[in-house]
Amino acid sequence: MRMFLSGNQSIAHGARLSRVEVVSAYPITPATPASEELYMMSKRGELDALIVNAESELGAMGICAGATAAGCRSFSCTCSQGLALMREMLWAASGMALPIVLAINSREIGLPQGLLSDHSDCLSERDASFIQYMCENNQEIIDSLIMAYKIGENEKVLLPSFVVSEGLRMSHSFEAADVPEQDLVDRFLPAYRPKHVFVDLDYPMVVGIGVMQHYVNFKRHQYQAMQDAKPVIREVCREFAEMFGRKYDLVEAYKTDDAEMVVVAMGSVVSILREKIDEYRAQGKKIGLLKIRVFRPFPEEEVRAALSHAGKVLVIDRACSPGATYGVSCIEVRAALQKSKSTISNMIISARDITARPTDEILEKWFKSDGEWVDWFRAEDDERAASFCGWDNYEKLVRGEQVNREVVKDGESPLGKGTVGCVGCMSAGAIRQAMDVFGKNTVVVSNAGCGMAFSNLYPTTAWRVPYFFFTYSHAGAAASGIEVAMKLKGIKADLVLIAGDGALYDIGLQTFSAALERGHRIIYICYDNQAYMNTGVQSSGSTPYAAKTKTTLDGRKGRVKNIEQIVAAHGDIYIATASPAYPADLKRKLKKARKLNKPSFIHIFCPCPPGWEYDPALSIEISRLAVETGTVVLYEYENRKLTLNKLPKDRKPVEEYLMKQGRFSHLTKAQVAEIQAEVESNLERLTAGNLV
Amino acid sequence: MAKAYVRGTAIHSSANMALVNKTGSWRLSEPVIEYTKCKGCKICSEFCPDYSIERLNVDKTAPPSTPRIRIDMEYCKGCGICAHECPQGAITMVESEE
Repeated sequence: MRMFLSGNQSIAHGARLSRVEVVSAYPITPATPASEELYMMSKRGELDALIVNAESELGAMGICAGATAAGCRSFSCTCSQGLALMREMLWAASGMALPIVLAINSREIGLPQGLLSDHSDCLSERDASFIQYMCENNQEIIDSLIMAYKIGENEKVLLPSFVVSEGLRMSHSFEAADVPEQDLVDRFLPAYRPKHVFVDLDYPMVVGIGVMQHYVNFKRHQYQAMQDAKPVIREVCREFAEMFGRKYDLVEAYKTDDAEMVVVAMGSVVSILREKIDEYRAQGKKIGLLKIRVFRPFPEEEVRAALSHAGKVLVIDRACSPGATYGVSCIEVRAALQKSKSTISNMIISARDITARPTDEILEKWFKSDGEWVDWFRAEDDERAASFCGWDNYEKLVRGEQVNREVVKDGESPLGKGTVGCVGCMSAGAIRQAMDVFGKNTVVVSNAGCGMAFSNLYPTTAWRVPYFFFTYSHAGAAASGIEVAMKLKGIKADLVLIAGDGALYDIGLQTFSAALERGHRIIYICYDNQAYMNTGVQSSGSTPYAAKTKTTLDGRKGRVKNIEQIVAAHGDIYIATASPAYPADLKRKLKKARKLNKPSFIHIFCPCPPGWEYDPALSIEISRLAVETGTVVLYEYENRKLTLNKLPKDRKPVEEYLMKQGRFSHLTKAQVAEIQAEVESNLERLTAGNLV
Repeated sequence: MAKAYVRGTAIHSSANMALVNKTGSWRLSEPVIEYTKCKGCKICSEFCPDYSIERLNVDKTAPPSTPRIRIDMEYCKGCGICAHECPQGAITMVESEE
């Protein structure tokens, strides 16, 4: 059926048609809408798969690896930092010969982070023994996904695959695509019935053990499987063409037969290049195009055959390998052409959007040139951004000059105006209130999340004290390092880690826990908006029971992880809960934390207008109602003593709080009663002075 | 390279450059203050998520119509929290004209 689809929807259709049995993903822009689409398909009854919310990408890949090892066809989608975090599990999956398929919306790897597409994430995993399909358009995403399972599950191959498209440029662009009929796909792609790794109680096997000197043999098998994959890919592409009428191969050579000049490229840039080839052909230029569709296994023979007559070759690269002279795909092309006399030039375009005019610019440069060259396309420093960022100050420092920076004065907040949070954002409100307590002598570390995104937008930042953003998962570790270094250097300041609930409850829990255990003097501020808001509202470990998010469409089935109990298990830590509706109480707790010579954990409940679905003007009212109904209990816990604050004398029914929010609008009377009962038992425990 | 370039994506600027983000342009409705009702209690400035309300140091004996708060319309996003929370009902949200 012909449909108008985004890249992410195409990914979802490809997975659905492949009848994946287990799906696991973790929110990351721009890949999240693909998994959200799978949730919708599941809700509509179009997808018969178990979808598991992971706590991180490493977890998602682990779930997929486990599911495939137990004999299920599994699927995940991610990009950028997510793929980087998966790395260890990627090697485990390919080593265990698990034919998982991962859809990658390729995106730059940070730092610095970007939101466009650079192939560094997938191409830097070129040695992970994953087959890599580099898609040009949405149709190719759907088709490649279906073929990827058939190829990967072939007994001669048994390898996992990446189906790579491009973040935002493809994932959020709509194109018409043919979505094949399920029964036709079923005839093409049989169910996954592994003979090498599975769980069967009547046929026990041990998988994934240490092999010592035999490692080399296993590695050779992997190497051989990649080589053997080439004829399998060709065969599966031929079968696919017979059934579905669309032709694919390892490479696509376009007008290369008599070409004296050939451009080599992968991904979406191929489409515009194809048009340009026709244009230049019309002008009499003998030019051709070679699209590399499969990057791993690298089709050396095909590349050699297509480029053998070309005197001039231009490779366009979306990824570079710092330290190597050429871009990543150019290195491969050069290796394939080592005996040829062609002059091979290389244009590294990284994440740049390449439309008609830039293509002309690149090609004209190449036409005029004689020898070989490597260049970056439009990568000159932006003078305006540089002046905004104060590069002149840096130059002065390099020259050994004194630079007088403007610092926060007494009574001023370390966080300035000009933050770009959503209208009525209470995470912003809470962080702002909290920061009122701090001054010049503050160092801030942040995880990825709304708090990082709304206060920093290159080349500007609203922070006026030392501020560090590392990664999502490891801010706890990085903050520990900063604390140790500050001690060594004799820097006396408050070290504050600002993290969302996803960062502390889920992906960053490991490093958060380790930092707590080591007892670094860090003030952890958790702005808890009860879901992944920065990626567009997906369920986290803090999402309340029955709340609707894009990954809990019928309301969350599970319960909130009690983070205070987890933190308390680490020993002597000052724990406090706070609400932006009670600023004096919130500030008092932070002032206290500043005075203590031990770790503190301040947990602030922050309503989110778009995520919780309410009028932004009600942000404070909802914060207050949470406390007045006992849904949120304000307390302090120190030295095994629990003190309740602001406990309402006449508690309002929890329904008053719930019914103000769209995310709870679907609740039944029974569910409301259930939540009310949970509030009662929670309060009973806390009023008795028991945290646990 | 003639010019030094900053490694490590660090921002070395001397001032709060985020001030260029004039979020006031997002506004769909405008807070309008009735100064005679405002007591200068600071509830609105405390709850504003965007640092957009400044409490002016006005003496208690000043005439009731004296402005006691100032809203920075360059940054106010028009969320309406101030109007909703004001115990005196001194702020109302009026739909923006453009």
